[in-house]
Amino acid sequence: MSLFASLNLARLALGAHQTAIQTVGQNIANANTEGYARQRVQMSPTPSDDMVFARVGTGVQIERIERIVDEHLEGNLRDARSGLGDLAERLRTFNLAEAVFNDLGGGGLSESLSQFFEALEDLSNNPEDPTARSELVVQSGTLVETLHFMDSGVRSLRSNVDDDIVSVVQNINRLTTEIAELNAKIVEAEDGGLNLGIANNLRSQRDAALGELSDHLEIKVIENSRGAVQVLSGNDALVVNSRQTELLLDPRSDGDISYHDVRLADNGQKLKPKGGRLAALLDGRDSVAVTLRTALDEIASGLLTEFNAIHVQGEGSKRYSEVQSLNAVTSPNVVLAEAGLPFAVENGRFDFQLVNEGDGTRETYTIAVDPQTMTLSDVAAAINAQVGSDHPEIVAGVTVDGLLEIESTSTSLTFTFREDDSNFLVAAGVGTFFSGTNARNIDLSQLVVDDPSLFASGAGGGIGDNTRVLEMLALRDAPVMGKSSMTFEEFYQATIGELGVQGAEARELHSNQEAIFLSVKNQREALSGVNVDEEAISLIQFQRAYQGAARFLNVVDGLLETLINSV
Amino acid sequence: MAVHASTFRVSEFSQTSGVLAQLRQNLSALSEKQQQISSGQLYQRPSDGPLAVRRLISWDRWIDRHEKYEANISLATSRLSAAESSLDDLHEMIGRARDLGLQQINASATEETRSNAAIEISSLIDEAVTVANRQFADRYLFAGSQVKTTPFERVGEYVAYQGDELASRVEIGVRTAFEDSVTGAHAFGGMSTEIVGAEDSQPAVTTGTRLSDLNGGRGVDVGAIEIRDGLGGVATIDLSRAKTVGDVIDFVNDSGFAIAGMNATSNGIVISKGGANLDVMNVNGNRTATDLGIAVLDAGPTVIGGDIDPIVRSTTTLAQLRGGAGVDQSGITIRNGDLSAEIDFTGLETIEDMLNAINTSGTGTRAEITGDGKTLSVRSVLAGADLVIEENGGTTGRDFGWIVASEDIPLDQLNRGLGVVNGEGADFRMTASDGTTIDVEMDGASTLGDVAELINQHPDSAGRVTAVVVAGENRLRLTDIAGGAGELVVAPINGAHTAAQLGIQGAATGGVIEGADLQPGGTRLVSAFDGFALLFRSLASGDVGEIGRAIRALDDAEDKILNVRAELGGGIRRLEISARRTELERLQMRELVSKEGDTDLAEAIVLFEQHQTIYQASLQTAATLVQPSLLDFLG
Repeated sequence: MSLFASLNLARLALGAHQTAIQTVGQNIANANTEGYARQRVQMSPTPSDDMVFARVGTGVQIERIERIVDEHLEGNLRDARSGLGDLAERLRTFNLAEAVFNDLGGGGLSESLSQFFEALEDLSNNPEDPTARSELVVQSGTLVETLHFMDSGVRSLRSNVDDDIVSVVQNINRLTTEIAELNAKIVEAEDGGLNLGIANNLRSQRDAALGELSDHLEIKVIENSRGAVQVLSGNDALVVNSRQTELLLDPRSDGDISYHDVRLADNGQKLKPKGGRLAALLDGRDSVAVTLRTALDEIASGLLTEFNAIHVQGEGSKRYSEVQSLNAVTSPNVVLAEAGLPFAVENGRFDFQLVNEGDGTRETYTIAVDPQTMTLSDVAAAINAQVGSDHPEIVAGVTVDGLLEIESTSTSLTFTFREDDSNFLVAAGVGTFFSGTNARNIDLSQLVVDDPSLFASGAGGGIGDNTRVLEMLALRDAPVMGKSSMTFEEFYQATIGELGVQGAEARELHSNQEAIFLSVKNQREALSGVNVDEEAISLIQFQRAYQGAARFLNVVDGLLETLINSV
Repeated sequence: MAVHASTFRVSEFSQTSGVLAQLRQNLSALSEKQQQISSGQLYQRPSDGPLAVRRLISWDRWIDRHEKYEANISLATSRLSAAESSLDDLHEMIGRARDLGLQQINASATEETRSNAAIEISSLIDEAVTVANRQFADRYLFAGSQVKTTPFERVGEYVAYQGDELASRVEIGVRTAFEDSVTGAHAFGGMSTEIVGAEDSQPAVTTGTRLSDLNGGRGVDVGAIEIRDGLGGVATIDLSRAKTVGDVIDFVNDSGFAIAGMNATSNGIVISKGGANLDVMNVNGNRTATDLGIAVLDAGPTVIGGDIDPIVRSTTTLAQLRGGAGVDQSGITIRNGDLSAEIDFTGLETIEDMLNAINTSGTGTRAEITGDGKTLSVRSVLAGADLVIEENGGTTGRDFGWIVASEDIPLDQLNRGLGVVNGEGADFRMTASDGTTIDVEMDGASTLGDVAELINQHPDSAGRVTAVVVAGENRLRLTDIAGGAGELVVAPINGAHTAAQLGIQGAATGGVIEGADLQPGGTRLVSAFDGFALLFRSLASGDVGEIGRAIRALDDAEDKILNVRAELGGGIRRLEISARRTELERLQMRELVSKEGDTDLAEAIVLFEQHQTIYQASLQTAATLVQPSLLDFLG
């Protein structure tokens, strides 16, 4: 053993401890880096020299710089994060939906409906009062606007969620690209698995990316023998080695609403995420928002069918001089059953009643309707044939837009409608009060808005006849919603109630999940997180050793000098 | 790489995360309390308390709704009270009229006193019309649904009713509509006389007859029927989508199992199948076959359905009436007081056409289908007038049943609808030529023919007196066959006017009493204005019997008004009870809403301060925890 060997020993010691201090510095520098796992230097003595009488140590070497990480814990943490992301988005969606459906402070649909019925009560008390009529038109307008407003709120919700989906998918693609690239770098740095686990910093980066990805999407991570990870969402692979499967945004539309489907680039199948933000967003958009819109549409439909069915068979303080249907057919020459009317027409008849305003006499004509064989033109022809032949002042026709038009060219002849067991009047929108087909396009008949005396309050009696209004009021307690099991009010409240229950549940689950996430994170950090105090102590340790090694070097240097000077 | 974790390591993250989480929680609780205080409400969103919020919204709606009902009850009460006070006034006037009338029956009455009384009655009528035309909040109280039309108008010596019979209703509770008005027709007899047609107009069934019109308007329970042909074949035919008789026939024919059609008398359905022994049955306890009149077992090859009794509609054609035999369309002549018109039915098609013709004839009459849908009635709205329907050269009146054979004329239509008095005990005494007295009791007689029969079947009449209703004329003829020396005499008993009213009072000439023409007219309905008008006329003519009858009419009208007034009184009481109960419930509900939904400010503020203290403590401890590390102490 020579002094030069000692020099070497010193050199090794200094080097090793320099590296150790460097590692401490790395840990401290990354104390707050997301996904970073602390690194620990594993030193071991270099092979000893065989001096016959003893084996003498030759120094120290860095065997490896170890990354303190438990893959199992990492996996748990990612799952907890997915769960949290999922519930956070769910909670946000319900909060947004509740903002649209909040009747607590007043001004919601419940109050609008209530005020609408109250206006009907006032009309019922004084059908002869024009003020009561205009008030009813005003309240009906408010009801319709409220429906529009809420429908538009739900649409915005849907559209906002869709925007979030787009942005999440873009993030996912960015992250999977990054992971794929890191895979390549890690495999290269670890020589294709020969030196598995030495690319610590690259691995930390990859873990950070995987963590962020798990927030967006629930993933399964499997590391292969070469150091690359496979990232799966369910059974679909998003990253395999250095290849990434991109997620595509496929624009679709549902009527007048546009949205995006999320598809895998390689096989075009729709992605079905199990957890994470994306899962909650897709569910929010496709399930929650749709349920809400359907509920609103059902309420609108109830008004359009049940309420109108009463209105078409009544008359106001005035009768019609001209009327145009509100629902167009696709073609006046197609049978009614296939003409695109929003509600079904049955085999039956409706009564067309002509009123002589001069002497008050009435003439009733029964017009038969067979949706399987008659077109809208046929209906107009029937009216002309039966009524027009006796009274040529009554003319019925079909406009180019597919609307039925009935007109009296004489001011002393007006008309109204009575019993209709075919539902034609409601389906075509003849003499109806509410027009449209759903919550978005429901509106009031312009004819009645312009002249509220046409609101069908009575059944042909005098100006104080409130027979029909009383029937409309009875609708309030009629089970016309929810497959004939609930009233309007009950149905709406059930919808809000369901929303409230789900929202409360989401809040509770989110709160629980936060606690779970925190707990798992703490566990992970307890193992892999940096404690600056600990690093400080390590720093002192390595510093001491470095100082010691330096001193040793000094001594050996002195020994050498002595030797050299004595020659 | 798996490395065992030491549970005692405290990472940088765990030091700060716990603190952050706690601070967030504190702040959130603080914020929640602040929201509750500033909004006064416990719940800001449905998810804050889904069950409670749902209840609260539902209660709020209940309160709104019942506030409206309270307002309606108040309105109804006011309307009824206004009507009540008018009825009181009219009641008082009837009293005055009666007194005037009674005075003129006295022996001390003279032509002059009667004529003065007549003038007084006339001005009383004007007063009564004013009362009956009272308004409340710009609505005529007694016009039915014609609230902007003056209900009663003086037309010469008559009073015309221009309202209708539709009382208005308001909602005073859930599904509770309450009549808050009395029509002039109901209270004062706006309709004063009526002539009702034959009991059943028997409209023929056609393929277009709606099922809902069958069975007297009861309709049909539409479901399925089962037909068995007795040869092993069974068919179940679903009729639930049938709306007309034609649909039923079509559905059966479409099945190909049997043939359906209309029966020969046009009032039922026929189902036949050659060589079969048909059974037609209801299915699953429904009433479809029964309601269609075809529920028959062992019928052989043909089931002849029973009468399915459709009601008359305005669209029923005249040709359909009387089982399809139709009616003569020469028309009728209507006389009503001073008004009269000949109405020709030639060229008219439907019942509606005919009703229109009558209603625009300017005779102060209203023709309509009766409430049970079986026949047609003609009523006069001219109080005091006598309503008569005569043929217009054909048999229309008889075909409709408005004009009946003399012997079938109801007694209460005789004497221009004033009828014949039927008192207690014997009503008149016939003394035959042989001196036998025959006391006739009118009980049980409802038509003129019944009276003749009563006379003929009296035990003492045999061989002494015979009575007949003179063919084609509205009078009786009594013939003495006793062959005695005297003359047949008919005289009143106990001053009853019956004999005079039957036109047979007095002595026979040549053994025969030719009764006077009994002037049949419409049945007089109970009507205050009719009573007044009759009294006026009778005072003017001086006929004591007529004055008596007018007073009786006024008595009936007074009873009617008292009844109606009692109804109103009952109604008002019921409204008061409703109002009190509704108010009480509403107040209780309001309290409940407040308890469940309003923030208890005292409690909330205390909690708020508590949270605030906790928050401050958290901040302080956080500051201490996030303290300098070892590095600060190393050189």
